[in-house]
Amino acid sequence: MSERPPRSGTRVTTEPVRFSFDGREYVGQRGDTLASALLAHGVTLLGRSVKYRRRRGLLAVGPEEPNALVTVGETPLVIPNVPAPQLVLRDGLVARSQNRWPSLKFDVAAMLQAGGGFFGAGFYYKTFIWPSWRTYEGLIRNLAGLGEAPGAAALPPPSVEHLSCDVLVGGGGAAGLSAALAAARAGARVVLCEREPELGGELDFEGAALDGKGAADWIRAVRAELQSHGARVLTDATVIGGSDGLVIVHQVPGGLAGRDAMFRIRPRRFVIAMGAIERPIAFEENDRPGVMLLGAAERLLARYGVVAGQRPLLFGNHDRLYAAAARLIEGGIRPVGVVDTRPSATTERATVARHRSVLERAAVPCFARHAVLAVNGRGRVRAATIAALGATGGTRIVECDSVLVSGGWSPSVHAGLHEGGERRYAEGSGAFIAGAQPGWRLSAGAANGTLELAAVVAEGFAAGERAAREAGAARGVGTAPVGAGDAEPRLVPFWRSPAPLAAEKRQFVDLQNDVTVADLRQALAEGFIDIEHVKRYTTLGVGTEQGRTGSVLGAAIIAELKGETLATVGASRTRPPYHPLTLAAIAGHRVGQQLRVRRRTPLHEWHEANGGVLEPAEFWMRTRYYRTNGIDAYTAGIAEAHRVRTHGGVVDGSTLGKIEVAGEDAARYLDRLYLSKASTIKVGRSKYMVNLREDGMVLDDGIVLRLAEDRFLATTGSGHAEHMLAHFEHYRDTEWSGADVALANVTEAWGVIVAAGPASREALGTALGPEWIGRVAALAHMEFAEGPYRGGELRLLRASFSGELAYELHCRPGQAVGLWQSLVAAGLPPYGLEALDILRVEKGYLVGSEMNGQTTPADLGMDGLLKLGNPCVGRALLDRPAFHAASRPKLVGLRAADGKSVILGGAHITRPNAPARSLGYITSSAFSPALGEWIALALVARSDAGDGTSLVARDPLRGRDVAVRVTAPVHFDPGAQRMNS
Amino acid sequence: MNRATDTTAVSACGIDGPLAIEAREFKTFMFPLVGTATADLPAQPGAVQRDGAARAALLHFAPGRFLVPTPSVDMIRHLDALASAQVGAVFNVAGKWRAIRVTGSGAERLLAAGVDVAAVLSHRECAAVLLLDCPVVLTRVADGFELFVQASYATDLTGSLERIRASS
Repeated sequence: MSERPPRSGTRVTTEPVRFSFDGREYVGQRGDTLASALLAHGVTLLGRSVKYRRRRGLLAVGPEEPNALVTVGETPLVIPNVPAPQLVLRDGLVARSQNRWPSLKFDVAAMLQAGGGFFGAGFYYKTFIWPSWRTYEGLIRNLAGLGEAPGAAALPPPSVEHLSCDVLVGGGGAAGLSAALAAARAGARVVLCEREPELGGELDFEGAALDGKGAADWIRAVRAELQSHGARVLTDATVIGGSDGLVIVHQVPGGLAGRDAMFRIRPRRFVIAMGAIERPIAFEENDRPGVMLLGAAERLLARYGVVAGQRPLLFGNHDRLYAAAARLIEGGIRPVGVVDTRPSATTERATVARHRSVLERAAVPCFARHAVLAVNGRGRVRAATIAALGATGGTRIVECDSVLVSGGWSPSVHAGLHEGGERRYAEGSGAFIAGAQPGWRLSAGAANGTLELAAVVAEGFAAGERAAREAGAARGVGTAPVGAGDAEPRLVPFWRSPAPLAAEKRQFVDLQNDVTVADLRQALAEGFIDIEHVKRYTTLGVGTEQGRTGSVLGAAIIAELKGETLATVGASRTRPPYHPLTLAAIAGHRVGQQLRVRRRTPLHEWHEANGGVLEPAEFWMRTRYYRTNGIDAYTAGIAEAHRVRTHGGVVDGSTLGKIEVAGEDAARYLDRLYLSKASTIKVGRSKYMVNLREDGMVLDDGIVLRLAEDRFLATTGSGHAEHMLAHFEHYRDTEWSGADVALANVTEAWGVIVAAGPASREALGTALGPEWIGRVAALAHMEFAEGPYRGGELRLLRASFSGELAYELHCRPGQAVGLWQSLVAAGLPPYGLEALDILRVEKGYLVGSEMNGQTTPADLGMDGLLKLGNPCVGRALLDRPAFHAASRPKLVGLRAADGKSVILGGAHITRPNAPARSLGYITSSAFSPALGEWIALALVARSDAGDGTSLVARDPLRGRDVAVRVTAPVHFDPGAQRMNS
Repeated sequence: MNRATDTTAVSACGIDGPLAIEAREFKTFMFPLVGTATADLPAQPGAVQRDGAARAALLHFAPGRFLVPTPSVDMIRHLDALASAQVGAVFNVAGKWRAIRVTGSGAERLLAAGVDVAAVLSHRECAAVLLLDCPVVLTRVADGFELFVQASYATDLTGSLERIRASS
């Protein structure tokens, strides 16, 4: 157990928190992050790089941290790739480093560093090709990747909340707080989200003053005022993306998934005020542990009392180096120097002079127009080599224990880029700032390139007021806060230190992916000149870091190498999510039983309780077969189909779509939507009918019943009711809007049981009782009867989808189980979809895959319906010559030439001597118990669809070629004697 | 906010149902509604006619489309009269809809897992929405919300709501 004297900082208390890292136990302080606690214990080696497995320490303290990613938890319930500086300590936290074996200090794969030149950009595209990629794939996949994927154990789903508001403010720093304050005062409903656990952004270490208060007091006052206006403040909450006016915010308390929340926020106005991320400068060995962003070191000191280095060397290209150095001195740290890439004249400014006088008193040397060329030291920083820029001559070694670097800031404008927003390069700040945005989005502060506190506050307040006004809020907002803090940094862009060509492979641009200046040079040399191509070839800006520290730096170096401006080269686009998410966070409630919505029929529980094997069919759960009839779908399906043909059975048809059409014009209206006329159907009778799309393709089929002169029931395919209702309503509301027609989806108002088989008539009589016996016996094919049944209502339709004598019984859902049980008791055992499909294939009935959106009525053998000449939707286009070409498909039957081979659905149909030319494919197939052989339906080019034609069913995926012979689609009982018996 | 003391926490709500209802739907031939015969109907989509106990009796849930969750004899007679007057058609959809009541201080937060209830019902009394992938007609009741969900989705929706409540 390792302990240290207590530290003080704005975010830590003295309460101890025990945790372990790589198996060793430590004690941190309440409020510490894993990174701050480890650094406090002197642990500076926090990770290994992905490609070369180089030793890495902490670079940043936000989600941009590329190096210190850890895995939290124990296998299999682990969460990989958690940035250590965002992971707040909790008692018993178990974390371990990633990408190393056997240990972080000694990693076998680190020998890859020796092959640094060998493993340049795109090496795997060019190197691992002999004898084949497969030879190396296993090894490379083992080495590649970030962290260990969790096992089967699942994290609890995050909570999900849909919100709307007038003004959403992204960012809780000076700009965001000011914006939220103005909007809330104006009377707008405000939501503010801040990715840090505390509000304030950088105010807590910049020594800022606002409205005459210290930063902490001002933040507290603003928060209290926001809450008094009813604003909702979300901390630990990051805007990770958005689309269609929706902004997605992911809240991760303590930086660890498992207790996270997703907010789907629809604001009327969105103020982007998410600050900026500091970026490094590329120099030789700039990835050594001890090289850290300057702002990170300041945060560590102010928030956690952690000293990144006792003798740091500061390196950068702007005025804030001096303010930071002065603050470090005030914090008891002794910088060994400040290296400024700008000429000395640029530092002569009152504010800078004030800070420089502090440095002078502390005897800290300043090196204007100098740069750090390299850091020295194995495993950690021991010294830095610096040199004057633009001059030949000597270098100087400065002994130090860390290099705190700041190359400027990249504004966090990702939220403005995910939905058509733009960004533009601002030369003055050396950054890509928010460009043109859709009208509902505004930006403030660093997003606009504004970095001086007074201006940031004023801009934020103005943006918040404007957003509120545009959202309709009208109250007065009072005066804007007045801020005083760090001055404009007066940055002069500087991207990389001079280096000989050989050293460029140690000038790191993207630390997470080990992308160096040499890689960028190589990518350009190989012709990858566009920034997006370079990104993908070199992996610049991919992974969890998503280019937050390296993308603009890389783009600037590419610009230098190409001799172009950074504005011309541009920066690669960021994509959502902005920070790493668990799959659980994305899935939300859609896990386990809720993965997909499942619709249940009124008989669902009965099926489950009686051996039914239920499977999803679109959204419906349907019984494929019953375990009592066989061990699998194949054997049970054959047994059930055989029993229906020889005796009878019942199947749950409740999923059948049902649309009721009522009104004086109902008949004429339906005439226009079906290939045959509904108006000729007599009350009490029904007809098989087909709908077309406007282009003439078959859309759906079903039976239409005429319930009354002005009322019809149109049945649709299972799961088709919703889109068929939309189709019907479209024509009702557009083409024939004056018609007296009303439609309702009544699918779930009726349970449907189909009783089929030679014994079905007698069984129905037994089950329904004496009052129905006569009506059952009298029903002709396609007739229906209605009447009371056991206190409810029953509609009995004689129609068949199996080719057997069959009846559909429509009853109210509450009666379905009782009726079903009566039918089973009367001698009709249940059968499932597998058997139903067998029966339909035997009869040549459409199973579903034949109506694939590409077949016309003629293709499907509906010539009889076409001859009726009803001018319905889609009918006119059926006369196009192309629909009568010899290449059009035709629905045919197929049987194996040898009468015994297995024919499987999906196989391509070819001529025996032309295996490469597909004539069509098998749409459905089954072993027919009635015929004792495999049979199929297929769509085959008319040129080759004649009865008796010899063809081959080719199935290369399953390695089966079967000689087949074309038959009529109706394989069984072609005269339909059984159905009409 | 500390979830343990949050009175609007998702866990602070009740879920009752689903209950089968003997509903009717009424669909007008024309919209907007015209004529004196329709004067008794809530004219605007989203409007709800409530009974003496403030329960939703007639929900205008989509343009010209009405849901009558538990029709009284008088209501059926009224709708039949409208049908006779060629205003529209009545559909007996007994069994199509199930009712679920979500009540208590956490009800709104629970439903917000699927839909922004406050926004959806800010300018209307009922709305037809997809809640957790299930089609529902949503309305407020005195102590929370009443959802009318199509019967085949009822078990799934209830399960989802209960899971979300349990995991919060």
